[in-house]
Amino acid sequence: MRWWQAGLFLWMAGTLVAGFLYAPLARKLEEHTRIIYFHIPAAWVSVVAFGVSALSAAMYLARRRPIDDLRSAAAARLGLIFCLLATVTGMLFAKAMWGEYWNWDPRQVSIFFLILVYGAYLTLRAAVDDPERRARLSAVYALLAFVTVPFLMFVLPRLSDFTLHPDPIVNQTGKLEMHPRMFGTFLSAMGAFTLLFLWMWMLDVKAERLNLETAERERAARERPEAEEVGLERAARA
Amino acid sequence: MSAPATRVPAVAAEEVRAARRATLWRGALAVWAKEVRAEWRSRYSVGSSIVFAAATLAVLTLAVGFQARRPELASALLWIVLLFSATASLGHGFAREVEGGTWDLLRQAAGPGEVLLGKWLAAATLLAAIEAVILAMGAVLIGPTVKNPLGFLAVLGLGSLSLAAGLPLVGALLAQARRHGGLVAVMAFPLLVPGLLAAVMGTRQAMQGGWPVGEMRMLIAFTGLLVVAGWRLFEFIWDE
Amino acid sequence: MSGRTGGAADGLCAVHLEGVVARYGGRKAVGPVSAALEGPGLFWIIGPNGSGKSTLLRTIAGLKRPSEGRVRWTAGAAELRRGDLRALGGLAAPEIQLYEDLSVRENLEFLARLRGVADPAGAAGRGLEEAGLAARAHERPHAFSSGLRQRIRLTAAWIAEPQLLMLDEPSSNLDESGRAWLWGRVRERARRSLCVVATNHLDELAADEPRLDLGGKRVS
Repeated sequence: MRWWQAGLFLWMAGTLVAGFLYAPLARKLEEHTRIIYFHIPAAWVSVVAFGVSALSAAMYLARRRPIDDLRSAAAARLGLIFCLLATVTGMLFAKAMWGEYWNWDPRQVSIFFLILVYGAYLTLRAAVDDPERRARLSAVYALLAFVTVPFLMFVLPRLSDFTLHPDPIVNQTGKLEMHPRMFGTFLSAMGAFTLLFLWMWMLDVKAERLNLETAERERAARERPEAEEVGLERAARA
Repeated sequence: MSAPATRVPAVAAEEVRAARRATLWRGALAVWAKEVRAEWRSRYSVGSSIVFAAATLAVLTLAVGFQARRPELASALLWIVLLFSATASLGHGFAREVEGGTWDLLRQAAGPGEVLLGKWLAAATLLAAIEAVILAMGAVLIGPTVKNPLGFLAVLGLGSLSLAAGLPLVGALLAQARRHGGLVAVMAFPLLVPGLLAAVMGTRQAMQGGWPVGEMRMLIAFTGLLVVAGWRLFEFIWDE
Repeated sequence: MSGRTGGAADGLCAVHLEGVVARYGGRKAVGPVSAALEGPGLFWIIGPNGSGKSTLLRTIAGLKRPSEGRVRWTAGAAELRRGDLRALGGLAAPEIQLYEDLSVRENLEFLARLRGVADPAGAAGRGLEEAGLAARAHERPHAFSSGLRQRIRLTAAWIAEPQLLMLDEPSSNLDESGRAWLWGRVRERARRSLCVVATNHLDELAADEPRLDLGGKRVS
């Protein structure tokens, strides 16, 4: 596995360098352009993580295997981190561009609500003690959230009054007027971040799986003395 | 032990299931009646949320004064008060059942569909009662003008339905969690926000005289989605 | 045991436990248990405190899924689903309470209606008569002594004349006359349905009645 980890490192490093030296600046944004290589991939990854979490949750409810629950929780934890990164970088950009940290831009609001959803999901997990119940209930919440949040992200911005403010950052990607070098670096960043997420996720799941297996082994050892089966008896008792 | 004295006719499983389908509404209405009756006698939820709403309205209007009459503010105030009153009254029904020991009583006798449907109907009923009081208080304390009362009521109804659909679901999720009290608001808010925002904007438009068709459509779609997803997912909350 | 071979053919209820293990909070509460409980008849679950009697009963009642193994319910040749137990089952347990905001009669009617009884009011009335509480039917559960509340709880469990009756420590809180009433009713019902009773009191069992003994299995 190590070769592709090294490859990812080089890819990421290369993208960072390209972002500063190779890709040109956008006209109105000047140096602020560089944020698109960090902010947008982070936001993208947080949405992908959300989808992965919801998908694993659905698989848990279907198959009831603890590993699916672990996958869901791991994706949610990572998704929260990337979501925070996206929000913070977005706020820095907003402050630098327009002097305000917060603009009530629809996408800003959406990513903020994604933080709330992740936060609620993790809070729910912390509040339920029984592992089976925790897995089941957080899976339900993940799916409920998966159903309603896209509503927030895609339908809401269409409503009339909401786009009073200029649609800043993201317009860059909408118009494919991006200079080819900028676009190339941008895609490279998107790919690198996605792979980084996948790698972190697999590590997290592997660690959790080891914990699970250890716990199960301990439990089996504890329970073994009582492994004799109980069946119907009819003997008269003294 | 003696031999069986009487023979009972064979119970066909399919007969039992067919009878159960027919009783979905019967059961849901029974649950609805039970909830409303219990609430009427204890006045627990409705009472506390009305007091809460009155206090919130009073504070907000004191702070904002006559500005509260403007549609932009009045619409937001209305839904803030409604959201928190609704959370206080609708979010804890399932937890009360678990703590009171009646949850397993109910789970034995009823099916998830009946209970969810009955709780939804009860939530809508309770919320309507709370809203009547809130509107009356708002009319007296603030007295804003509503140029399109029909549109206003339509948005109010649709927005309330989204609250009535979502809050019991979140409450059911938290019913068996520790320290569930404050978590209902935390977990419900991100789920309900799309509907709420549409409701606020729609209310403002109605107050200004327009018909908020886009917002109403969105509310219908959102509530519908919540109901369908909740219906399908509730059995996973129900079955331990 | 009488009725064992004839029970299934008569179309009566049976519960099949296949390697059932039930866990709470990640720790094993009971199991593995394998047995075929075929009605009509009276079956016991015995064992010291903490041996998992209540958990096993709840699993039989369909209120809890087994962590390992399977529970199957049958009525004659037909395989029943967990949902079928609403009409056919009934569990009374110490932690299951009635609704405090409803009168005793309203509680019973509500439960009867949910379980699909054709005449819920009539069933509630008859249940109250049988429990000797008809005169106080309009009172709330908390107005009764613990012994009488236990009678109401039991009445609620058998309000729909279940084919599978499950009782967890049914004699708790009952005085001597209450216990006589209880066992009279239970043994009578055991002649036409499957009754499973969990108890701490070994003197309640008759000498050769079948039992699942969870004794000696410490909770790990």
